Amino acid sequence: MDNIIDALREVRRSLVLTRLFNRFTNAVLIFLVFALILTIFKLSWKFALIPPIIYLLPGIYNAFIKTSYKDIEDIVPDLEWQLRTAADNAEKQDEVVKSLKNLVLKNVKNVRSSFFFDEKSLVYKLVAIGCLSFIIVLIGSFHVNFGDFKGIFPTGFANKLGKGAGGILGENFAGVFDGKNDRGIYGEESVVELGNEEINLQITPENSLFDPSSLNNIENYDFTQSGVLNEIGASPDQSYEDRIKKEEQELIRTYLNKLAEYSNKKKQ
Amino acid sequence: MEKVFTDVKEKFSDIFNQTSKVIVGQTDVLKQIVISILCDSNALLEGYPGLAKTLSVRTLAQLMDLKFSRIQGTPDLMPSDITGTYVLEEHDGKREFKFQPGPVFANIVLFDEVNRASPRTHSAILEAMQEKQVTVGNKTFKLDKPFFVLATMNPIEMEGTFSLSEAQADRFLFKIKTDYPSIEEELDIVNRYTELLKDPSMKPILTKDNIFKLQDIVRKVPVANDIKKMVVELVNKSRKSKELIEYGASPRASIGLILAAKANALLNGRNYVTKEDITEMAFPVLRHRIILNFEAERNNFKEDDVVRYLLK
Repeated sequence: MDNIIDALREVRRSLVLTRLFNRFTNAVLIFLVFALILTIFKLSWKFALIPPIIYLLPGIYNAFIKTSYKDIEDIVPDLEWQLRTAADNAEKQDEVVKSLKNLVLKNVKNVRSSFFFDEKSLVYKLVAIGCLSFIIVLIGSFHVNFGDFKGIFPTGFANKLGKGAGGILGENFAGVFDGKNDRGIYGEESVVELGNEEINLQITPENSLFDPSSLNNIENYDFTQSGVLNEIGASPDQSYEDRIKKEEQELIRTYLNKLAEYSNKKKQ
Repeated sequence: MEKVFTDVKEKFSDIFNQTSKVIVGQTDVLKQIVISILCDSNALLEGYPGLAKTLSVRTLAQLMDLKFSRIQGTPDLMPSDITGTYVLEEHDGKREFKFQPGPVFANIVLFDEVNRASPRTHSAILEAMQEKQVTVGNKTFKLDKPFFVLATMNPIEMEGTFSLSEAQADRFLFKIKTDYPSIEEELDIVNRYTELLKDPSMKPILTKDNIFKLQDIVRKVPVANDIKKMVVELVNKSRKSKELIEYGASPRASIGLILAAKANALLNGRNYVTKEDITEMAFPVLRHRIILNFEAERNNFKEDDVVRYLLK
């Protein structure tokens, strides 16, 4: 009895694992398709995780809970009704049921995991995954997009949408395919080409980055005038007043007035 | 045990080959009769006269080494004509009643044109079918085993007949339909029976013990729960399909269908029942257990059409 139950469980487990694997490869494909679309429209690749997760969850539930012996029998027609009958009558021990169990054990031995795989579709899926990954990397590195669609979202949400897969991939992969990556090793390309050779550079107005015509309403300054100020005034500071005694303040004031008069006379 | 199933298939293949020496075509009819015997049940056979009904059953009885008897249904047939009766016998100057067994004391009883017999006689044969015993006077006699009744009915000439009630018909596992042979088959029949003087001799292939063993195996053939559920749903559907059926099949139909499917699996050398067994057996099991309503009859639907509809 244990043998037949173990054998049946083993076959079912193979099918469950196969179904999970199929579901997972499909989920990867879905992710890549959405990632590609989001990259093209400069939206965050993280949103491409949502569809495969939605696809994956019922698949996992179905694989674990709903996988029945009938599913195995559908795939291996030689076992049709045998597995279900043997499973439903596992506890019976008469000679007819025993002969059925022996038959099932014999037939189950011939069942291989490859029976549950559709090799053709698996190859197609793997090729598609490879192609899509390559296309996404290319699009990211060349910054190919159909415009920034973040504008159609509210500002706050648009910030959450992030740089987009293209942006991230573009930063990471920039220069991988255009040769600019050499800069990191040799330094500035133009300098590398010059070597130690000296060059004379003359900056002409045409070559200058500054364009005088772009300036408007400029004030006219007379640069011939002296930089000496016409009037000089002084006023006592509060702190100063506080420190100087009252009887000395008059003396100092007189001194400063005299000094100012002297200065004015000298000017005249 | 696996070899047993292969052997059973070969044995019955032999039986059908042997019968084909005598009977042309009618493979399904013979198969269904064999299944009825393996299920330890009885069958109704509906067919036109001259379709080798008697010959089929007699040949099978020979091949299975079973005692065969035939009863012709007539309106004046009495129960004692079937069961037997006490006759006064004289031994050594002493007179005493001795039981003289009727034709029902056989293994295979062919009740020809059962619907011509009166309801009293019906009840006598039905008691024998159901209880495998007959009561005469105050004494009960056990019938020999295996016991199989094949009652035939003529679908034409219904005047002066007593149709079996639904309850009586329900006791038959199958209602087997025989049809006219094809042109080729009929040519073969003509050739055989206009040239040969006597039937080819038949040697028994199975014994009574073999049949008991096979009847035991049939009941042990395992059935998946899905199959059981399918059968119960099918029979239940016959009760609910009021658009075509006035009265559906009883739970006896569910039992009969599972049992017949088991026997069919055994005949095919399988130790498990498949959906095909159920589909194949649904027609003979259900066709006499459903009563079509006016709408179905107005549309000229036959019982088999409705069974086909139920199986969809």
